[in-house]
Amino acid sequence: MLEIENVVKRFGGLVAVDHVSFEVRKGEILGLVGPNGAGKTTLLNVVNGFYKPDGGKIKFEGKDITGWRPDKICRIGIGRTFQLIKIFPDLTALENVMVGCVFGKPKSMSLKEAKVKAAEALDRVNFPLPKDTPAKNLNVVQCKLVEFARALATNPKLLLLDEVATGLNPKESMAIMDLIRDLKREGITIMQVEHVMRIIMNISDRMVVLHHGKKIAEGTPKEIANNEEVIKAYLGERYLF
Amino acid sequence: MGEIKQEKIISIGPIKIEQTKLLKIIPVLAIFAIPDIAKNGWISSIFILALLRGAMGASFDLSAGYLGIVNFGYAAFVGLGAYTSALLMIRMGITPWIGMLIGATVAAVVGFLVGLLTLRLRGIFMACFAWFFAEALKFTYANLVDITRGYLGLHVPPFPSIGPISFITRDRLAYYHLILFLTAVTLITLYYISNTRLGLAWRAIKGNEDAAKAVGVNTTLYKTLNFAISCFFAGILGGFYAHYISVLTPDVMALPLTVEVLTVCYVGGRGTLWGSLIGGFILVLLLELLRPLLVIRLVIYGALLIAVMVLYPDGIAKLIKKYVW
Repeated sequence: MLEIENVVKRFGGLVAVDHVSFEVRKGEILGLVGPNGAGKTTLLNVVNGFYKPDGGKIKFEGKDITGWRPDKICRIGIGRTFQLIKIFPDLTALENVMVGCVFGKPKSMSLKEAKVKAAEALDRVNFPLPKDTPAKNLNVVQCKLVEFARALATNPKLLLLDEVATGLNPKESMAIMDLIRDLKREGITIMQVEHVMRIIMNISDRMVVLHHGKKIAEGTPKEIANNEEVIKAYLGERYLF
Repeated sequence: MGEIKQEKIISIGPIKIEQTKLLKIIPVLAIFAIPDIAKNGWISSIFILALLRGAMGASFDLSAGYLGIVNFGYAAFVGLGAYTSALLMIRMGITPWIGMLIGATVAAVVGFLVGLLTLRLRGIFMACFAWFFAEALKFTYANLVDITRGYLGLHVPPFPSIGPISFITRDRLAYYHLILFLTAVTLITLYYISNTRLGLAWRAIKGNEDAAKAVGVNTTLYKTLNFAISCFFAGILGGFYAHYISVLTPDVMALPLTVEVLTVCYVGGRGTLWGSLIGGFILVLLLELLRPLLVIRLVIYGALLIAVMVLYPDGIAKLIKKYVW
């Protein structure tokens, strides 16, 4: 579904992503892991168009999307959430999601229609508060839910999730992981960057490990957990589950 | 928390408003009849200036309040509209009723182009670029003496009369009715536009530009559109200004006007449109009372702006919303 071919991204002398190639398969949850500064978020930013790669290609459903604008990439079906929450604070929760409905799909819709669709998206993520709550009054979990709903509102085929579990307590992150599994069941492919190993090991179908910008391993969570290179680079000790 | 109050909604054309709010608005609108009752030249000119500044503030607010971008070159677009309409009338005999629209279109097109160049920049760079552009345009107009008469000043004829309404004698009341109409058109149009998908895109961009991009908002397009619309109204109001004030110099494009409009918008309240109207009245009245102080009044503007930014960062409109609305 998504093919990343030999992608390079440099910041001055630093090579943040160094000739990384892998593929995200339709219908799977792919976990992208690695120590701090491994280039995970940079890679997501290259995929969704925030950064133009210095080398390599990105293909989505066979189409070369390298160097496209982020809004165009969103409209062909790649949604994302952010590591640091990026909601629109002056808008209500509902309006936040409406932005995704109105602008994020190949065909635009009226505001009236968007209001209905946005309410559905908020219900889908079990948003617990009234929908007209100003976004600046939301807590971390609620903000993440709004970001989720906003990304879902753009009808993504592929969803890029950046550290959704960060800042959540175990119970809250369990709820979000259940939601991610539901989305997978509904046919959305997911590429997820995550710090919390227990969570990502548990949820991923396959994993890719980055270290200093290079891909050092790829495989099922079990393979990754027993991979010498990965243990040396990241886990430090044998990770058993 | 969060219960949506059911209010009777009244629609006036494209605009929907709650009944209770409408009942509060109507008495306020009566204020605009004062010049007609007073029939006093001084009062009329105060109202004209207040409405002019207020409408300019509202169109400035479209960028400052909705998009979060301060257009430091705003005066240049007022000047473009003013000079276009004036020159078309003087050199080619085109009626200012059409000249104003042409001037506004010129301002909008130039605004769109400046937007394309500057809106990719962020924050202070963008503000500086717009300001430098305005300065460059001002000096261009100042040096094209053969066409614009530069600092000698361009004498602009008044609007032609429409039926019984005579602008020729520079009857203040006629000009007041004209600017009242223009202000209403400006505010209603801007209010309408800001409630469409354009407004949603702008508020999203203001909130977080990266997030807006990531959910499919073509930020460059919507930002330049915002600029173009804001500059269009700057151009129209510039056209009015030219034929009202009757002598144009390139100083109309200079920073002081931009700062005045910015003050009107910020004191009145960003992101509300109507707040600028209140700001216009407050500042024009203040300016009139401080007239003996001459240039020092600009210092007072500065002081007032600082005071409002510190005490009421959201402007007078927020206070009114809180206590009166």
